[in-house]
Amino acid sequence: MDKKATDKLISVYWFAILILTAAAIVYMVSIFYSQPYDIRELEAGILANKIADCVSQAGKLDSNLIDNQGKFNQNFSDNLLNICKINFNAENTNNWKDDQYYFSLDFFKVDDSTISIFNIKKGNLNLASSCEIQKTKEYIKLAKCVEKRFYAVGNDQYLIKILSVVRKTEKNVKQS
Amino acid sequence: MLLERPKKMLNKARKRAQVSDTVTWIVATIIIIAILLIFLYISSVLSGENAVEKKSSSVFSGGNSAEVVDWIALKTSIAYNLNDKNKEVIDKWIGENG
Repeated sequence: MDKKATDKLISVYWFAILILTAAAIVYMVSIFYSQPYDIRELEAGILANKIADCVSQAGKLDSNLIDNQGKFNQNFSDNLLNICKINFNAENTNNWKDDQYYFSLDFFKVDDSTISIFNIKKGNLNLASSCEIQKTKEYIKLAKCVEKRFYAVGNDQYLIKILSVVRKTEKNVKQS
Repeated sequence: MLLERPKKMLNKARKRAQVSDTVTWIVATIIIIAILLIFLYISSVLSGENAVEKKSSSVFSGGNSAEVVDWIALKTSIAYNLNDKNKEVIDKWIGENG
């Protein structure tokens, strides 16, 4: 083979390698960025923080939630979403019908932290089962649960447990 | 007749050079493809870890410090300023959450 023919062959080879490398880079970038970011845990954490802020300010339980006799106000519980300025509106995608959120709020006395003395539940109750299932192992396609506990003072000492759950699987997990 | 022998030898040497050149290119191609495959594998593994780290529950402690404190833990410590009776029991209960 003469030199001219060899040079031609090598330039074809180099073009083939160049195209192969470029294609591989494009593919790598596309698979890396096509994965959605899973922010459900963050969202559930923000929801829990918002609820915590609503029921307890400066270490004290909200005066509308509990009276001086230590009685919990059922009206506060019924209107919690309005009072705390929380709504469960979700994006209008994947046939979501504002059923992507759930939270429960439990109050305990310090001397008996096993029995809840007052409880508030809002949102899609079906999501609560996801938390039970994931107690031992995490499943990416189930709803994300965040549990937060804190202490606040009213006419007595109270322990508060917030469980917040966000589903939105279709938007946060790649569907395969 | 006398000139034919060196010509044959020259041809043989040329052929050998061509074969070694070809082998070099083939090995180089294999190495390039192997490196690309390794990078493809790494990017596919990394793409599976797109969970955002949970730092939402934290707030900046203020000042120039970049130190963060837990928002909910802050609530508990403020409540302790009002009443810190049964602190151990409360801390233990909160700690059960992990």
